[in-house]
Amino acid sequence: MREKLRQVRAWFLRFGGLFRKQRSDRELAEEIESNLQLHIEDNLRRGMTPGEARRQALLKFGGVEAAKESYRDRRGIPFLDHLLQDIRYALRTFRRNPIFTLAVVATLALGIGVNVTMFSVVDALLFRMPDHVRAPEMIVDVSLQDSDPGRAGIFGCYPGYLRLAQNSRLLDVAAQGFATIDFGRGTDAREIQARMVSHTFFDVLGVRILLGRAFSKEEDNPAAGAQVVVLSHALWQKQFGGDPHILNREVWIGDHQYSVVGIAPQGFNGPGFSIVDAWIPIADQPLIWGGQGILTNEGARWMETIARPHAGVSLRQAEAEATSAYVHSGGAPGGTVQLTPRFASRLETLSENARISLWISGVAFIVLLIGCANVTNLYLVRATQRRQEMAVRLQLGASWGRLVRQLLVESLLLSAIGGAAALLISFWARTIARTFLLPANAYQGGFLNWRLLAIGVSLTAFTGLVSGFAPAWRLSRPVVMEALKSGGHGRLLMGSKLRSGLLVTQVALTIALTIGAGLFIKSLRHAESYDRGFEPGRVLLSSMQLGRGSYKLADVLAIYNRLSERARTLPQVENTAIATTIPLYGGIYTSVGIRDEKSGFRGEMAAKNAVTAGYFATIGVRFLQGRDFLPTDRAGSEKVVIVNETLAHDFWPGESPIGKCLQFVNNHPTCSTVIGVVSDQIKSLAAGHTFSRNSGGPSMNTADAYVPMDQYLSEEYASPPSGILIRTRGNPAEAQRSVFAALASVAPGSRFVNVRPLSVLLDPQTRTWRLGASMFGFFGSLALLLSTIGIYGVLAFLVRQRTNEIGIRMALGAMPQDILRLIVWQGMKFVVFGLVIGIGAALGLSRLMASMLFEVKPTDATTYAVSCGVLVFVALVACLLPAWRAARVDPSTSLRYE
Amino acid sequence: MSEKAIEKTPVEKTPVEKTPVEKTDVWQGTLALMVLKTLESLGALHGYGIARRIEQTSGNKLALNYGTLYPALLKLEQEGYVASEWGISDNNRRAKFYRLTAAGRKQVAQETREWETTTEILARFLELEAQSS
Repeated sequence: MREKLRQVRAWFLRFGGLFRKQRSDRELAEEIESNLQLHIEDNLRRGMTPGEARRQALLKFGGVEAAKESYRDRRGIPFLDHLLQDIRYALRTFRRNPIFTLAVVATLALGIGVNVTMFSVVDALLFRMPDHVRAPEMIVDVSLQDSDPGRAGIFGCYPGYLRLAQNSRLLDVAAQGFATIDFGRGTDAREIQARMVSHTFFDVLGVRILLGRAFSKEEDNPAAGAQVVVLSHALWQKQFGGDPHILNREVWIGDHQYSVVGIAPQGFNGPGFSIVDAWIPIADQPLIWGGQGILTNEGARWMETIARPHAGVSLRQAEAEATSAYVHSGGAPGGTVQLTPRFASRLETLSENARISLWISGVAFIVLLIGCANVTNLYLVRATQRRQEMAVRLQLGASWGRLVRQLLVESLLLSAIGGAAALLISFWARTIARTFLLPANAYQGGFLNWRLLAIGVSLTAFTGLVSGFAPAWRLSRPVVMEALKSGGHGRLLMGSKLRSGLLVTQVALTIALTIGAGLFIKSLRHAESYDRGFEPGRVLLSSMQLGRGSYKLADVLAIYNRLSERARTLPQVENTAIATTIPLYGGIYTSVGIRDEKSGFRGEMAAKNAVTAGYFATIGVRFLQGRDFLPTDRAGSEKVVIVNETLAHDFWPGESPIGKCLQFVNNHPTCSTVIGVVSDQIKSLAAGHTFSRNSGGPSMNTADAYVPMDQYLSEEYASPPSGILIRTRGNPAEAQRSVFAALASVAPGSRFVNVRPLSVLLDPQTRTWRLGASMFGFFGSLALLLSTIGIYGVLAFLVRQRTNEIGIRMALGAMPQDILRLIVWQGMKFVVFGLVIGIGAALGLSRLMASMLFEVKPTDATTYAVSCGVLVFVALVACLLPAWRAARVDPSTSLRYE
Repeated sequence: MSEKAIEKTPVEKTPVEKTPVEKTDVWQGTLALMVLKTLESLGALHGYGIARRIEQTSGNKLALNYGTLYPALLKLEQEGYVASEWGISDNNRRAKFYRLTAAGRKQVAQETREWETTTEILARFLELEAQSS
């Protein structure tokens, strides 16, 4: 052990010995000189002549330089010493070739930069742990495994949570429920994302409150809940300017005043990744949602239970204990409590975002490979120029290994510079990439973490080795050197096979990317121009958080009516309507049907939507038959219904449904008279996402049934209206501000009114394709650019190499167009070869993409043809430039030059 | 990579010729012990003095290239067994003096024991050979 420490100490000193060389050298020389003098003096004393004394001393010493050399080897670490030498040499070389250096560094910085950026997104989606949570891998989701689906969700309700929290001795249990609430009053009012959490929540997560405190047990008591709130750091900063005296301030949350008791640390979002603005005691749930009873209802499913097993307790132990605690506290026997690590592998269940991001990362990596190919080409060109230097060094006895190392050090150093620049690039680019790829309100977190750094470093090493190895190998190969020495220089093409291989690969990868981009662009075009049966483009959507019980349905309707009428007085507004289901939202599905003599009752599921008169005109739906609702269709009058095409076709194929009876099957069937038929509205472009029709196979069309708002609200299980639809005369984005101002002025209690274009609801639906189109498009263009540069570079180099030969050909009577054809074909044959391979690869790979495309086959012929056309055109231009120069070679000059 | 595997390019460095004796590990080890032992018995000494002393102690049987001593001294210094400082020699000349550290003293004791054991064992084997022949 002691020995080892001595060794380590010695290595440290030797590492230090790599520096301060001059001083140490001087000291050694001095020491040797003084010892020699001592020796000489001894010799003189023994009676030697001065000359002899000196000669003998030197002889005895045995080679001063040799001694110094082995002293130096011992002083430093020879391997590192040589490395430093190589690096210094490389840096000198770079300074001499600034353009070459810049080209390599820029290419690599771009390539590594896009990859690091993409990885930062993938990292956020797949590997990031929530901030400020202690040992997040120990946090588990609590669920019940039970054959009865009614009981299985027990931990989604408050009594289920309580049972476990009060009885488990091996688990710390917490609960959180979600709530979108409005915060503040008047002009400062806004909608925030809140969590209703148990008082144990912050302790279970192990988070330290930044300012103030978390909730006490008393404040989380359903009987006497206190109105206290913990704000997020971001909300505190944004809404209160980081006021240090924020504690005990009263703030409006919904209809109630809350007292601020704490500020969460910056970036804390609980056990999740979307942004949370505030936390309130879960016992306050009735205040937030209105209505009583949900806290004691075992059937409600509105929250989640999480837990952390005590230290040293295995999951299995904790599960067994939790199961018995659950059963002994009155839970139904037969169920077992399951604890699933909440932040375990997200690799198995890839989210949509993660899937797209991984695809794009793959694409980014391909771009890096194409960039590497270009850099390799640049190295090869330079290698040809450096043959002389290498030959000299080999001849002087430098070993082959040493030369390879020198060249690898150069390429690694260049990619290291590129890698450093890449970090800067991705620091800038990440904002763009994350806005595109991360869920809208996801917490973005810090930039650099060790995973990102590790990826950056590995990519740098990878590019350095991959791009530099082949040229280094070739350049320093003794056989090549022999050939050089025997006088054949000027004619020899360095690594021409390697060059052609690189060219073919580049073209193949590029065409594959271009085809991918084409497929996505076509999907996006189809998706965006898809006729959905209504016009979301001119519609604004307005809604308020009106609780789920604190206002009666009639009150909610009254409020919306007031807002609606106010909106209609604006010159920009053409029409308004109120609905229980906003177009593009899922909908309330109910069973509807008809009864006839032959087959009795025949039913299916339909989306039921209660709307006010003018709804169809507002969102731009065509009437096929019949009439719209009238003010006379009110509660108590004859029940009426408007159906869509699909529903009409399902029940009354080939005949007019007007006047027919449609039954809504709730607890007791009622008969509604069909008064109109409207065209279908496509709610989601994802096939099979919605209920499939009797016609079989997935369909985007659903059966819809519309009822008048007045008649609907008197029903037993009615849901409140969810918002107002406002049809504007021009661009809704322009009208948005004035509509908001008008509605806010009549909002009850100056509360927040949300006004947004309906099209924002459309965006998520076309997101996949928009992302695919923009990302594939971006990377495809990058690949195309890099490949073009590659093709041009290779051909330009080729032409320079063959100037002499071209001169001879022309002297022998070849015409300029012959030379042009010769050179162009030289390049294009690799392009064609690469195209064939690339198309093959695209045919194979695009199949994997099929599920992400919209109404485009992965083998879409037009896309393939257009992509090939673009590539061939660009490649031709890249070939023609050098070919043209070759064709203008003047034979006499070129021959004399040689 | 070990030091010996390093290839030197003549372009950048003068080749080093090493005496065959120096190359053996045993020699390196024993030289270190000789240096330490010399310092233990005589106190602080300069390089030349150490070399002379070693030759004298060996009864002039060892012919030492004085130059080989300096890397060995550097190694011992890096390992912390000796310390050095500049001083004035008997004949008024500035020279670098080496002295044993506390760790060096322990090392001498330990290595001495190890050598004694080794030679004792070897001696037994040599005897054995004499008997059997």
